[in-house]
Amino acid sequence: MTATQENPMRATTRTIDMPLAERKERGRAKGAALRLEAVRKVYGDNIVANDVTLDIEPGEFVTLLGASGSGKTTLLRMIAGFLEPTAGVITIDGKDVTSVPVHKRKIGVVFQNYALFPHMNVLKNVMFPLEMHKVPKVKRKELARDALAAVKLENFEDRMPSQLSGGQQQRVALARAIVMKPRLLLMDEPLGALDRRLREAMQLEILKLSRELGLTVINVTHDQEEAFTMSDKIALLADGTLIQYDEPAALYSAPVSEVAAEFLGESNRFEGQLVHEQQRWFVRADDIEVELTASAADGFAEGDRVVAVIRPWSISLSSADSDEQGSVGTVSALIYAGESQKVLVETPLGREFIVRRSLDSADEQLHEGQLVQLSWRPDHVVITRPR
Amino acid sequence: MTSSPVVTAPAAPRRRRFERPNFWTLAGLPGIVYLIAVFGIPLVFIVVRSLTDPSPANYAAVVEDPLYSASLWRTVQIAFLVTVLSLAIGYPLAYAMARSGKRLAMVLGAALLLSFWTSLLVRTFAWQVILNNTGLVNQFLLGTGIIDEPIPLIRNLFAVLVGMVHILIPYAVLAIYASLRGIKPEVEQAAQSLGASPWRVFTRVTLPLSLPGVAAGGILVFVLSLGFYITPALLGGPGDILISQSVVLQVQQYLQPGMGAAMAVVLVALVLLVFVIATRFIGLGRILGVTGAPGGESR
Repeated sequence: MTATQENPMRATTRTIDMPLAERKERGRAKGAALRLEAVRKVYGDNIVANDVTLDIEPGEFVTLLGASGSGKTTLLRMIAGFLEPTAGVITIDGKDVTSVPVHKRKIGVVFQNYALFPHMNVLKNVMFPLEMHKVPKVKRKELARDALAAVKLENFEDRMPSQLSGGQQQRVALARAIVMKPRLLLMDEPLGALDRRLREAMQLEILKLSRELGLTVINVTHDQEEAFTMSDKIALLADGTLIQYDEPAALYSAPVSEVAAEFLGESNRFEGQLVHEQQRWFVRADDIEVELTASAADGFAEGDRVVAVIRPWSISLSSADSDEQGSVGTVSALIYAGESQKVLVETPLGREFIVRRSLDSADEQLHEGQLVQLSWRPDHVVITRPR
Repeated sequence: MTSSPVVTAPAAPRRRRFERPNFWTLAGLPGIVYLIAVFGIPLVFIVVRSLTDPSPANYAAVVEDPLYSASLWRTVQIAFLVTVLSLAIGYPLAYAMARSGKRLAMVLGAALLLSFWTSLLVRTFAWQVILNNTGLVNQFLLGTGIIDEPIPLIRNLFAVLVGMVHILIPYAVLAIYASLRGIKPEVEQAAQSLGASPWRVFTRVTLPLSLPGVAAGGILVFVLSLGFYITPALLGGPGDILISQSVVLQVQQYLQPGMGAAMAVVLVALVLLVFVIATRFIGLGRILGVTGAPGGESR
């Protein structure tokens, strides 16, 4: 493959597993650095983006994650230039683009509903940006074909968008967005309209492609699983405010607030007071006491109101007798969810625990109504501020 | 706990000789009967009359009569002019309605519909009042001393065009508006993000996608123009007789209803011809506003 050198879209190097630092080294020349500085958008009394500050490094894959109405799409639209912020500055590679019109920003945008030009065939759709940027005519076809090859749609050139499936349309949209080799790719829930299997396959493909091209990608989604699968960093948004901006693992293990903890998957949460007794730390609620490690309590003071968070995977269950010590409850429901089993356990005081167990584990079989003991390790307990 | 699904063999499709009419066919029946009674049957009478009163020679006379062919040609020309003007003036208005904020779109839409719903006769008389030698425009120009004697604004082609465009423009605007609204905003935004300036977004994406609406509106206006009678009769000059006026002249002045009927049949045939040609390109449903524009919600 001699073309590999001059044509990054034909590159076959496996970059998907490469660590971030190494990818950044490769991506530095291609991906753009993006910075939002106190970006604010207000409609009447409604603050849809509340002084969001965000630093995105070249080559990073960042997901804006939030429920609908959290302001994530508004933020993306301001980065793209479809909306102008009420206040704040957006810079790409250090250049202020806040009032640069969309067509001069040189970014790629992929929309949830594909937004292909229905009156042009696939090849013409992909050639459109080349034409707009006055790429010489003779080169257009070749570049467009390379982009289509990169999304594995070589033989679809003459089809009209209406003759393609949703997944194929989104591939065309992707090819069209990357054919000019933009340094920043924005995706607004690009997989939202696809079914689950296709979505998962596309996640990997997009990830691979973006890494091969060294693009900086900003993806918007409300699907936390997608965010965790694809992102180098996740920006968690709620009510227009940036709650937390961190790597997925850090976000999961150290949510900065109860809102973050709540959004990032199922969790068991106990609000109580932080207590320090005999060199040990506890969160004490009316009906339960949860021990945690000193490092988890770092940054908090004794007597603080805090929320203890225990992930469903961190709890183990064993059968118990009614007079046993510790947290005991009755199994109220067993739910099979694909590769795992979800167990709901109700304590005598009416608190409900969510527990996840893997199906192939050697754990004993449980049945509804069974009395079980709940246990977890103190280092699996995270605390955070109440909402 | 297992439960075996109940498997039922799909019922073999029964062939019925006579499909039982469904509810909507029955509901549409009175309308169809009414149309046949007040439009279909009279049309047959007219065709019969054109052939028998006194003879099919009526058609030969129609073709040979220079007065008639001149008015037919004039009708087509004026219909064409009215169509072009309606589209040229109507497109920006439709675009403004489709792309502006809610309030402005409401005001524009209300203004359009208000004029649309006002009686054709009233609107034509209103133009008389405005364009007359003693009308608003001439009074104003005389009063301000710009002119010394009234300029002829009425009883000419200009007045006919003004009146007809005013009356027919809502058809153009509504058809174009519908197709513009059918274009997803993301499609235009995508074009912008791919480097297209606002003007190129319009010429490469918006305009091509709205062309079916332009065609539909244009054909409606053209076909309706062919049969216009009152407006050209009240605003036009004695030399600018259109085909519908010739029909009336034949029947009322020359007392030759057979000739009039033949002319009417030629007019109907002309309209049908336009429709047949048009449907070959854009589909009857779209002209009549039954089906949506491409790039719309459904796929």
